[in-house]
Amino acid sequence: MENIEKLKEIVEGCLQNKRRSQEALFQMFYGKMLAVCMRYISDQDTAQEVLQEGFIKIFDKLEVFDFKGSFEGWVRRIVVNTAIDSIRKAKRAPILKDNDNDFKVEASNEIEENEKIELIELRAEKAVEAIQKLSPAYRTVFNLFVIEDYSHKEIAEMLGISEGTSKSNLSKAKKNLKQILTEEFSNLRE
Amino acid sequence: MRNIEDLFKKSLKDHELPYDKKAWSELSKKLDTRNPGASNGVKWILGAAVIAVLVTTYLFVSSNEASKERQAELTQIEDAPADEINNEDLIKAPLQSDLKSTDQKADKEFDEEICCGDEAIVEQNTIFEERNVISEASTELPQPVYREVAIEPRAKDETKSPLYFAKVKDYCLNSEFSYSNANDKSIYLLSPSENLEEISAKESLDIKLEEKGKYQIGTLNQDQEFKEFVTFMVHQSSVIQLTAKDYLDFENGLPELNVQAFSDHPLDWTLNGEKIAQKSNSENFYLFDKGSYIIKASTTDINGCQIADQVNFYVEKNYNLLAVNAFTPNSMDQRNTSFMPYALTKRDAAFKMIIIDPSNGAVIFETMNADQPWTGINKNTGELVEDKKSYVWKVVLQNPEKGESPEYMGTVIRL
Repeated sequence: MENIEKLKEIVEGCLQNKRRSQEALFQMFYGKMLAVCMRYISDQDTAQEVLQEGFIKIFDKLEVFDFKGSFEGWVRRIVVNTAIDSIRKAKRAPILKDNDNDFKVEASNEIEENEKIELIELRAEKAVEAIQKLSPAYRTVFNLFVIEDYSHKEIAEMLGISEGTSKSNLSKAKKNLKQILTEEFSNLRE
Repeated sequence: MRNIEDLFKKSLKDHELPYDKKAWSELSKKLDTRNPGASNGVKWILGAAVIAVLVTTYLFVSSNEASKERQAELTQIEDAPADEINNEDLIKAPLQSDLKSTDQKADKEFDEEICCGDEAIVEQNTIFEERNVISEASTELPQPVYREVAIEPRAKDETKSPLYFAKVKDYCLNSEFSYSNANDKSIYLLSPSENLEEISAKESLDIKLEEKGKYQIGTLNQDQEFKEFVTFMVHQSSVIQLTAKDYLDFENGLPELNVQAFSDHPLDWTLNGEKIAQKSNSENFYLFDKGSYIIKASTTDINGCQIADQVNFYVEKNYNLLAVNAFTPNSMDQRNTSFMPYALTKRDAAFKMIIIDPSNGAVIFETMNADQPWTGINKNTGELVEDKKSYVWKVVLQNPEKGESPEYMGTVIRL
């Protein structure tokens, strides 16, 4: 309860355009939200810019937040949407593409259907690194579906793609991730 | 072996990167360039004001001077230091009344935009030129120029937009209350203790009215001041408080429970959900059978509020006319020398009792008078019945009480 009160106080300050409150809010969510951005955008500087853009939107939209749902969830949705917009705007990485030539791992290679992997634990940094190796199209669907828990229907609506494309992108993303991790480990063994 | 989804999900669930103070200073700079403190609304007002000033200046000048002179004046405004210009121009502006509500801070920014920002001036000139075209093209209808400028601040005036509020009748305390907001913006319910409940646009509010007094439904203005549109009262219900003893009273030979109520109104009583005809605030209930009983009283009070209370009672055993299970014809204690169910000696009830010898089924005694108990004599032989033996008694009531069985049976041992 105390945290909610503190958060409300900070939000109140932000609504009055107080810099200190804005900084407190930024500091409160910076770490988690930058991690979110890094999963969508492989370039760290761009991720930072997207995060800042996201926070500007958050400050602008704060007055409509009614504290009925999770504040962090609300912040996260704005950041995720900002990241998706940024990818959409980037000319070289159209998100709508089913087959992405920019893919760093050959998707056409025969990859086992089996999704299981000989790994018990994956460090977050390694996980982000692997996700960043995916194409924006696969990466975005993977993030939205697996990490943010959106349904294929919701993803299709968000990205303006069909549900089928969303499912297909997810499946390819998983196959590619498995290959990336497998290669990573074989390199380690060598 | 793990599913790849779970693996990534687990690894990234709480992933957090360290805080970087530099990131904030960059964001802070960005925020600074976005005119700190100026909300979108203020910007619109400022924009409108800038246009108004320029249009007024233009109209004023164009009616008196040649266009060349006009241009010269504009240049003068651009070049003049802040403290020498805008105040005077503002006073001249026809929108002065609309700008009254704009705070000093906004005025300051307004000054800054006119005097200092190159970009702002460029924009002003552009706007000025556009207005110029409009006003010249529509010389027959000069009004729209003013209206368009003036309308922006008024559009922010919340009280002007139509709002719909359904009327609400008075309620009773602790009633469930539901209210739908048909409007496109939030409305609020203000309780007597000034608790504010938001009812979002197109949403409904369902709450329990737990405070007595005046509730108000209305809106909040930009200063967060509440303006009421609909009010209703929540009345404190009066109380029926039922009291009952925790045991049955057999004074009249009946399993009686008296329940009292504190109420000035005629009450509706129910016993285990079944209506009882009585209306008074003190009622007797006969609880013949073993089990749980719920006695409830309800009424409608002066404010039309339904009020009710109930008592729960548990009866441990069936009523069987309070008959003893043994008697001793030869006892020195007169109370034990004969058999008659105790209830029948207390109740003013017409009955017939028979005693049966279970060994042959013969009726060995019968009576219809509580003053003539069975003394142990077999009426067929005229002798005392065998001792240490159980005999069956059976009573049939002619006019049993409501809810009472007309027949009772039991056994009694002659000692």
